[in-house]
Amino acid sequence: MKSLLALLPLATACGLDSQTLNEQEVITSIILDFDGTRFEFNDPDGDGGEDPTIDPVVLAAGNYTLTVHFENRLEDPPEDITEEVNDESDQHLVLFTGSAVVGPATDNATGPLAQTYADEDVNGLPVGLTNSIVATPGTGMMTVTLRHMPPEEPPEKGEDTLDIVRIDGFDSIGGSTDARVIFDVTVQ
Amino acid sequence: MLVVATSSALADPEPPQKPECTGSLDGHVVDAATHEPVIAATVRTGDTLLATADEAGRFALANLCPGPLALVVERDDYKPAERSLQISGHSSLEVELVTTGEVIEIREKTPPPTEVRSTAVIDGEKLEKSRGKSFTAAIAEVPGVSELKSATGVAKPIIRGQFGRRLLILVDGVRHRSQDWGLDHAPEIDPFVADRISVVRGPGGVRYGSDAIGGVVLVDPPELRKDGTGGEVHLIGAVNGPGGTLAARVQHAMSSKLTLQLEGTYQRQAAPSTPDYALDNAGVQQWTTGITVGYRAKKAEYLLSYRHYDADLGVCSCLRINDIEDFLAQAQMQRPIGADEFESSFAIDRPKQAARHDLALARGRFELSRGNLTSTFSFQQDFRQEFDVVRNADTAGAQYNFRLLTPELDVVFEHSPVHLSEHWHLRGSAGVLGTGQIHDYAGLQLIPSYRGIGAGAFATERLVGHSTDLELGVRYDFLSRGAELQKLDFTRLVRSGQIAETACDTSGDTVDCQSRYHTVAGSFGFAQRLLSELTLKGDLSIAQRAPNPDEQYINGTAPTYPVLGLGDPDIKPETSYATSLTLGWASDRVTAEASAFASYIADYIYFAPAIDDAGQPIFDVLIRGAFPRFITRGVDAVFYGADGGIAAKVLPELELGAQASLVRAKNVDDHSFLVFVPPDRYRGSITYRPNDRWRSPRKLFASVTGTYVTQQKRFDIAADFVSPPDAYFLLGAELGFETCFGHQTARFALQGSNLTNSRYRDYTSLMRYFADEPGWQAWARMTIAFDSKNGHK
Repeated sequence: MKSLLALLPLATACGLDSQTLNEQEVITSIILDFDGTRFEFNDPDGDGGEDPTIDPVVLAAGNYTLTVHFENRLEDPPEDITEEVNDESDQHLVLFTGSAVVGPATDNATGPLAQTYADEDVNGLPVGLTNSIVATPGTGMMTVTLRHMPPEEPPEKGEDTLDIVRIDGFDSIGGSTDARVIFDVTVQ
Repeated sequence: MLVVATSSALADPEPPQKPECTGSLDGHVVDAATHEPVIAATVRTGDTLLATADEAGRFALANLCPGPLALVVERDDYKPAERSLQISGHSSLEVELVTTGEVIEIREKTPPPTEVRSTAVIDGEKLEKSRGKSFTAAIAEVPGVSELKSATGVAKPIIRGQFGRRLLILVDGVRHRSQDWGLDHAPEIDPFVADRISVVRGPGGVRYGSDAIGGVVLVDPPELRKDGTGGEVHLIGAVNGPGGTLAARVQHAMSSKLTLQLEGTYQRQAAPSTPDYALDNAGVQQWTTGITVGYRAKKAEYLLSYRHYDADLGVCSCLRINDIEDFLAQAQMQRPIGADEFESSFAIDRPKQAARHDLALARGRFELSRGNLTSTFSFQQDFRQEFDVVRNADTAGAQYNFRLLTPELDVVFEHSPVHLSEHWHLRGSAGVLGTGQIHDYAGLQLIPSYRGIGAGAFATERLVGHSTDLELGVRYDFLSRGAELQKLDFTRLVRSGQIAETACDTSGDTVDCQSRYHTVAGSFGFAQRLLSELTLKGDLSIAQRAPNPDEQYINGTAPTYPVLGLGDPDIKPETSYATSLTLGWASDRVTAEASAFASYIADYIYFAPAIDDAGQPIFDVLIRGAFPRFITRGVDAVFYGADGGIAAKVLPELELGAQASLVRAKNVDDHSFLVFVPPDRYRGSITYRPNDRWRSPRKLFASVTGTYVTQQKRFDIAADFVSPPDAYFLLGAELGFETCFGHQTARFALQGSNLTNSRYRDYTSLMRYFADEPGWQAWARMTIAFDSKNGHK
């Protein structure tokens, strides 16, 4: 059989080289870092299989800088996806929604976490990898979403994106979801 | 075999007047060697012409007087046959004719006998009307056939509710091997290859593979010519999405023995538009090429052929399948998000698919003393890549890469007809098949690589009588498959409870999972001529289909739906018990066929929502949110329905047509309805063909077609996600004529579809969750047929 295959140039020219495996852009883990206190959504075996572990976010009241990190732990050592997101920051937006969050993408009057964006992309629009958080006592849920908003899936990221999410909900903006996880939040 | 028009007038025989002359005779004229009907043979007694054999080689004499009758049956290219018989009451007679002179050519291929299942043939004008559309659109004109459309604007056929793995498509006699499991994997077939497409509705498992439990589509290229040069060129322009197709095929007989055929197609089409917005990015670029060489020796015939298909298909950017919330929200909307920015352009960006298919075949056909032996070796490569929208601009590759290599050897012996009596003869064939499969997959977790080897054997016999055909067939297939799972994928399946940890060999770098299947198929069919115009056909069959690797091992979020799919490595083959009855009418003015069918499929392999003990759907938390879990499992399913069509010439210039397709399908285990079962479909048409007044233009025709598709009321919301779309009506029209230039012919046509620019969605389209179907569409078509023999007659 091997010799037969060798006779057919097309059969060998289009081989599935191992490089294609690097094209997957998988994310398995999201890390929320509140000034060194880390909480994780972790699904190290990827989709399916073992259920992911989700750390509850438990914080003392106060001011924090929240940085968000994305990793692919299917790779060994784990691949840091945050850099990739940062490199294409004008096409990405991390959104914080849910009952725990008072911020530009939510309509909540009160909540334990008041979030403001502390970074911006080349167009002066927020990215959400770095945020300022004011934590006040209370409980709720926080959904962290990494939205990829490339020109291929219009409309692109714009000044009104956060307002649209706040008013019409998540389903009314362009792009697609790279990650969306829900954390339980308790601020003491 | 040449059809020679008899020079004698085809007058009715003088009816004898004596009242006691009530005898009758049914006759059947066949070629002694091939047992094929001898059409237009004359039947006379003395100098009186009594009858002429019809297309089935049959003739009937009535009002015969008792006593001896001497008949002479003849045709120019046969030796006259004389028969004397005694007439009393009703008699029947089979006359075998022997060809005159030396047989200098190999016997013509015996045409396939009357199909005992309902079969539709698309060729000539019908095929031409579909030029410029996809392969699946071409066959969707047949009652009982509809399209399962993907987000790329291309589709796969559904025959009587069955699609994908349960249908076989044969191109030039070779089974098309591809990634046919995905809902968005359209067959990689260029419809311009075909000179004729036959659609067998219902199980065709005995001859073509026991897994053909839904139907068989045969795509046959033209026969190679034996002299001269000829061919056709098609040029098609489309308005929505703007674009065009150029296709050409030329055949040249280098000598009486050697013929060369070259073919090629190029198609480029921008994204089409719905009445309100463009289906952004859904453009098509497709090209194909093919070369065929045929050589005829005295007792053998050889064919070498190579075809390449290459397509880049843009996926509509309106798709939102990355998470279930966005998906469901979009499905409720009238209009895709971002539709204001959608445009109809030729550019094809991510998301997109690239599909390549190669088919090389070598065939020999040998005339032996006891029959014909046909042996075909083929090799296919199917290479499919799917490109998602990516985060990193430097990512150039595809996220899903599938390559399937299939070498196959098929040997069939067709025995010479065996004459059992004056009226019955036996035709039959038997064959063996060997196949190998090498499948490599790289990309996001989905399906494994695998290696497979299979073998099959079949035999069919058909008893052919004057007005009755009976057919019996059996088949056995063996398949052994070894899947190579990545360690992590195997662990995932184990943790999900889909496979036992001990079921596979985990000692190597990859996990080796072996499966073996033995499947059988059997069928009994009949065709009975009730009147000269009316035929009743029926069949009973059993067929088994072994699971595909995706049904065993799928493991990941499907690229078509936001669901987490999990296979079942231990799933059993499914077994179909099917029957159908078909009534056909063929007269000068009316042709009609109506068919009813039913099948019970035990252990029907079904990919559907997983339900927990409380009857609730199971969701899995993934990093992109909670996804519904879909699993493959065996259920007992029943499919039944009816379809048919009629074409009637109510006036010499006016033809009316109508057709209907109805299919019902249920999971009998829990009484839920199965997904992607097409809703009822009705079509009516009026065609006006004025008599030719000039030599050119000529063959004018104008037709109007209306298609009504009901809303699918029988659905399972858990598997369908949202309710099926509303019923819709589509209006189409076509205008055409033929002209001559020199000694050649050119045909022109204008065709339009959805002329009322209706907004509609199709239940059997993946696009229905995201966007409307295209609005009004028009094509202009030019076909030039040339033949060096024209003008040299």
